[in-house]
Amino acid sequence: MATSAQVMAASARRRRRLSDPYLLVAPALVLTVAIMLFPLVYSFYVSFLNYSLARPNDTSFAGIQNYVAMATQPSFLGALWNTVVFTVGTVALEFLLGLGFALLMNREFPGQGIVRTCLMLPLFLTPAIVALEWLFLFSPRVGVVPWLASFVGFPPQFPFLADPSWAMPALILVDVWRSTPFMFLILLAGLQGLPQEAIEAAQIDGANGWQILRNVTLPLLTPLILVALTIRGMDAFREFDLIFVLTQGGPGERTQVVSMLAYNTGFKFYDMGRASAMAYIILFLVLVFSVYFVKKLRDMQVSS
Amino acid sequence: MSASTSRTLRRVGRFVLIALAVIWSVGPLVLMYTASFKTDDVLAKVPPTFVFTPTLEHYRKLLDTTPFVQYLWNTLVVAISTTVLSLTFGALAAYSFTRFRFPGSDSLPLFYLVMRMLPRFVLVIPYYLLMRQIGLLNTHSALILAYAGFSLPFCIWLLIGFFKEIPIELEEAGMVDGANRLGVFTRIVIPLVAPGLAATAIFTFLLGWNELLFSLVLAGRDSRTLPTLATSFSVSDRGIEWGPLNAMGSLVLLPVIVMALLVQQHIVKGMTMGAVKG
Repeated sequence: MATSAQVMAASARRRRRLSDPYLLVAPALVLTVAIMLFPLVYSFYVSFLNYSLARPNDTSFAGIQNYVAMATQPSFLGALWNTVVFTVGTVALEFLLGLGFALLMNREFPGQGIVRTCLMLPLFLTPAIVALEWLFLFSPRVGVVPWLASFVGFPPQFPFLADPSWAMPALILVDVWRSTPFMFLILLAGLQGLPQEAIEAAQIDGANGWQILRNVTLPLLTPLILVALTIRGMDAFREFDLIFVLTQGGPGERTQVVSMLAYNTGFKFYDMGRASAMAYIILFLVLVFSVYFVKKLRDMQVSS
Repeated sequence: MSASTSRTLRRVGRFVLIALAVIWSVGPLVLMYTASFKTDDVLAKVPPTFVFTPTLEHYRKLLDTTPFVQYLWNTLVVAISTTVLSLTFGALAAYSFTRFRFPGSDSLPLFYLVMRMLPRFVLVIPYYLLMRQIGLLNTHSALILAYAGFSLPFCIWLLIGFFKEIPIELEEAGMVDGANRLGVFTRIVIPLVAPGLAATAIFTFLLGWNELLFSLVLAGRDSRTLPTLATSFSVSDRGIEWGPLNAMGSLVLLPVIVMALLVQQHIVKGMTMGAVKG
């Protein structure tokens, strides 16, 4: 009897040990399934319903009608185009400026720590407040930007955010201010991790700074640059806060991006079915993008 | 031109570029903080002046005429609860992912990586509908749950990085000395990973402090957070009051700046969740 009790206790202990990792993961997993996966599935279901809060009694099945309605309305293509312009514009400028900052900071100088802190600071700041702050800077009457712009040929008190052709560049400028530190810090970390031998060898061969950057540094940093561009690209693609506070998608629909369109469909026109369909169209685009990213990341971790 | 003058020129050029970069990065903040202490007359001056007698009238007006204090309280309740929740659950999961091999120990972290990529406006519609059905709209709980959803994947990835840095030999030594897993976890692992936990807590708190969209949609008068107050300035139709606006920005960003200084050495890891070593 005693031995069989011991055997049972031992096997219970073994079973408990085997279940340990799952016990530890369980709370996180339950939370994620309940508040991320389930709402996602529910929203997928809603995307096939006639579901408008304006007509609460009609929740009939709509088939793919919501998807067709969203994808064929002119606002959708416009919003998609605006999103692509915003994403490409911000990510490209942030990469160039971030690379410049990183190259500047890659050599030691007195006060480097403080300068680095200053350059990274905008990244942490509350986006809605950053937007508010730039609303002030862009103000035609009391803002600094129209004043500075008047020196390069703009009419005095130029209303950047209300101008159809300058509202988007203005938004891009604000995002460049806020997110350049992201590129800067990743590229700086990359530069500091580079093997010094490769650069020294190029110097001995008589290459100048530009040649070293083009032919040695950038090729070595390519995997890192890809990761940085991808993460930043996905964040820019879904940017909402800056645009909501600064332009609300206007003037007209000139800065209406996909996230604004989804928000307006859901919470201005209360059409939950169409808003869900819209969200799923975008989710599909982002998913394709992120699967590609995860794969790239895996390849990199395997190779390093 | 001799080699030494060209070197001096290059050094001056570098100095000028660095100065420009610093002005570009902190200039807007300096303008905001100084503007918050200017009287309306001084504030209307373009170009801005930096010599003036400071006033606190905008701060007084902000506190008297807007629900700033109520929103501050809401933000603190929501951000701190979210941090405690996601940090606890995240630490347990991250520990499990880094210390055990089990079916799912590779694929689950990737699942969380994909969860982190989800655009928030994909979740905001079902959140609104579901929270409405169970009567959670306009409560702190709605925001805490919604924020925990997107904070948890972030916490897990950041903590996986920190746990990986702890040599497993220390834990094995603890086990040999007769401590059980729980003892090893609380007495050896947690103290070692404490700086990482602190940094993760600060990043998570900032996620909650900064979040706008969910608060805009899910919160009501009693639960709205500070970023929502920002939108009430931008859409006010009686012309924007620049003084209180700058006072509000200054107050909301103050804790953010302090925390940024505390976690700046971990920032690269925070941005990429450990995908890029920093």
